[in-house]
Amino acid sequence: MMHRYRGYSIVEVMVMAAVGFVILGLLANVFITALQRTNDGRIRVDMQQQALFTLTSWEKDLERASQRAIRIEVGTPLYIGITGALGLAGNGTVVWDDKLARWCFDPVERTVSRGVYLRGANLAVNPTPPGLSGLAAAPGQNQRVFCEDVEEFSLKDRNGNTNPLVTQPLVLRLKLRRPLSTSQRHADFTVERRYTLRNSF
Amino acid sequence: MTTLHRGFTLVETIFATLFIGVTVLAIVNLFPGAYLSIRRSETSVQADMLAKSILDEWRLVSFENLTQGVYPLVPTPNGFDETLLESRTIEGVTYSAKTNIYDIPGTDSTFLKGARVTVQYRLGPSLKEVVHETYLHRLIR
Repeated sequence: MMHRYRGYSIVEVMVMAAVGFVILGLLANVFITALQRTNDGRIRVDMQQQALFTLTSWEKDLERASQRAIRIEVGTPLYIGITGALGLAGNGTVVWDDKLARWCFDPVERTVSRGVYLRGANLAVNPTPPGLSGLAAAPGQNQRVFCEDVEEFSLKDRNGNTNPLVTQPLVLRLKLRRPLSTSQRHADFTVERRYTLRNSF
Repeated sequence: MTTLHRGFTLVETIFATLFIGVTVLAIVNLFPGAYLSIRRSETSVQADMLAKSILDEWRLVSFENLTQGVYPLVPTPNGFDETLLESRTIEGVTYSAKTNIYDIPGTDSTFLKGARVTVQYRLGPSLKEVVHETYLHRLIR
C-alpha cells in the first residue's frame, strides 16, 4: 500500500502569497473608500436625526404658544422665548404657563440649545429684552444642547418679521453643515417648516 | 491498493482567490445602497415637511373659502400665493404638491371638511409620494 501526500512547494506558496498581496492591495483602496462612505453615512443619519429631533421639540413648544407668547432677541447668540397659554381665567384674562422655553442659537459655538425656566410671578408673558439672555441664573434652568454644527436657526413670520411676529404661518428654519471624513467635504441638511399657531390668545 | 491524496494545483488556487476577490468586490459595491437609503430618507423628510407646511397654510384659510377641489397652489389668507408654486426644488430634487379639499361623507360639510396634501417627487427612476391629511373645522365663537 502506498500513500502519496503532496503539499505545495515553496515556490508555489511564494507565488500564491505574491498574488494574494497584489489582490489585497487592490482591495484595500476599495475597503477604505467603503469605510469612509459608511462613516459619512453615519454622519448624515446622525445629523438628520438631530435636526428632526430639534424641529419636533421646537414645534412642541409652539403648540400652546400664541404670537404674544413668543419673543425673539436677535443678536449673538440669538434667543427665542416661548411660553404657552393654558386658557382663560374666570375674569377673561389669559392664564400663562409658568414655564418658559428658551431656545438659544450660538453662531460661534454653532450649537442650538434649549432650556426651561420658571418665569416668576412678576413676568406677564415673556421677559422683556434683554431678559432672555439674562436667564442663565434663573431657577429651573435646564439648558441642554440639542443640535451641533448649526449654520442657521431662525424663526420668522411669513413676511420676514422677527419681533414682533405679525403674520402667519411662522417659518422655522434649521440648517446643519457637518464635515465629512475627507477634508473639504461637507454634508448639508436644511429643514424648513411653515407653522400656524393653534393658539390665538 | 494505492491511495493518491492530491491537493489543489497552483492554478486552481489562483482561480479560487480571484473568484473570492470578485465576490468581495461585489459585496463592497453594495455600500452605495446604504448611501441611497440615506438619500431616500432625506427626501422623504423634505416631502414630509413640505406637506405639513402646506396643511398649515390651509389652516389659515377661513372655512367659508374652503371649496371642494384640487389646488396646486399654496393658499394665503387673501387668495393663492403665485410665488409658492406647486413644485419646488430642494437639494436637487423637485417636489410637486397639490391639495385636495373634499367633503367628508356622513358629516355636515358646512362644519367639517377634509384636506389632503399629496407631495410627489422623483428619486432615481421611481416616483415617490407622501400624503398628509387633516380635517378642518368651522370655528364658532
